[in-house]
Amino acid sequence: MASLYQAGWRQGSIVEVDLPLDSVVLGASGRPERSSQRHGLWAVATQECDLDRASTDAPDPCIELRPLFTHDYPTDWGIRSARLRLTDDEYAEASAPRLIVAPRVLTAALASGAIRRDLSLARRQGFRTWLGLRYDRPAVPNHLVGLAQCIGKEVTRNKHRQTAGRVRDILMQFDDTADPVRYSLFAVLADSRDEAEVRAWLGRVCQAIPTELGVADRIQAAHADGIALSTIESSYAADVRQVTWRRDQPKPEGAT
Amino acid sequence: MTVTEAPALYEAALRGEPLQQTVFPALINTTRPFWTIGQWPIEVPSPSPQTIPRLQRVIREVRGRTGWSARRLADVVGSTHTTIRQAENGRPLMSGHSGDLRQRLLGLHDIVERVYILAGNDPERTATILLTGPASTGRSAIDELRATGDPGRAYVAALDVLRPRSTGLLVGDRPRRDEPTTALHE
Repeated sequence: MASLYQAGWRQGSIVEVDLPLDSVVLGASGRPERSSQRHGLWAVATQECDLDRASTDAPDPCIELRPLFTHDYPTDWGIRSARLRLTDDEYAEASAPRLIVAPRVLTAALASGAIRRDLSLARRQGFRTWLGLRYDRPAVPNHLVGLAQCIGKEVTRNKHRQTAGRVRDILMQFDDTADPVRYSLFAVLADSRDEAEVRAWLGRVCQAIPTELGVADRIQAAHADGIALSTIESSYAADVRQVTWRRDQPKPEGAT
Repeated sequence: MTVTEAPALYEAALRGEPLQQTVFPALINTTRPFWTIGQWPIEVPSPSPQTIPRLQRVIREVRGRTGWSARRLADVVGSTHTTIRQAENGRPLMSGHSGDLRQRLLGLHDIVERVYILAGNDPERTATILLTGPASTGRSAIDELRATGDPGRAYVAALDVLRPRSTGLLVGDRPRRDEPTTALHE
């Protein structure tokens, strides 16, 4: 039996089929209750490796569908936003309930005339990135948001784009017991020969950050092999990925 | 309580009656005509605060935070103490004579401002950090500034003096705590 992938299903495939969309709310009685409605427009959120493992007639639910909406769609593609446009007028909403269906449901839906549409590779990549970012967005403690945003803004300035391209990631650590806050920046390099240049670049970045927000007291750069895994795991990520995906940019740069 | 909030109390004070509390003179609002002599209303011109020009402030702050004389600062930025003194006293720099001195002073100020904070607001320690070459390169922040004109390299050199680079695996010393976070973009 063919897999869903072999049958043409992809992460990001859009299917028009009427299905129940359930969530749980607190009812008038004060007890959790099922809130059930019908919805007719969906995108497949399951990864393609799982689509390739799922037989088209498998009876058990294992394929995640995200409801798509068309009313009041956002103007930006919104790859970092709560709402992501997949087409010109269809978008996914991060907080919307999702559905797990059996592969057999999708197969039967197509057989009975449901319409499936496939996105371009670029938009599928955008959807994949958005799904990942929803659970791994750059985030910092509330009182450090201003500083972290300022670092991210300086790092991604156009005039820095060439040097930033040599950096795989920038990690931030903070000491908020000092006044003003002290912070460390660690650049994860693709090539360790760029160390001096990248550190100098980060030095300039730090000088553009108002001292009221914070003062950098450590700037380091190293190849990923030279950075402790504990440091990577215990640092905050500055948002250096160029994941802005606007109307005039059909392909999300660096978003893979 | 102010007098304007208690006119009755003020009037009592004028009559010389014993009062229960201190009464201050009534405040006069001078932002509009407040008195008329004959047919001429008296107007007080609004004060226009004199701000110190940026370059003057920059030079004063750099000197104040390093303890450098005008001659020392001139040496650091590749100028003359006469030019520095004149600029500090508000005379504009002559672009033909001073080259990019303004830019060099601003770049130096950005570094000094930060190193001063990191040095615990100690001018002597700030100056020492700026003039000391880190073990890794031997070139101090001021050396870097003179040689490359790049404030970024100079700042990194100063940080390497403050917190010398360790060899081997790069390890952060401020791991994140278990506390709620906010997404940087939403």
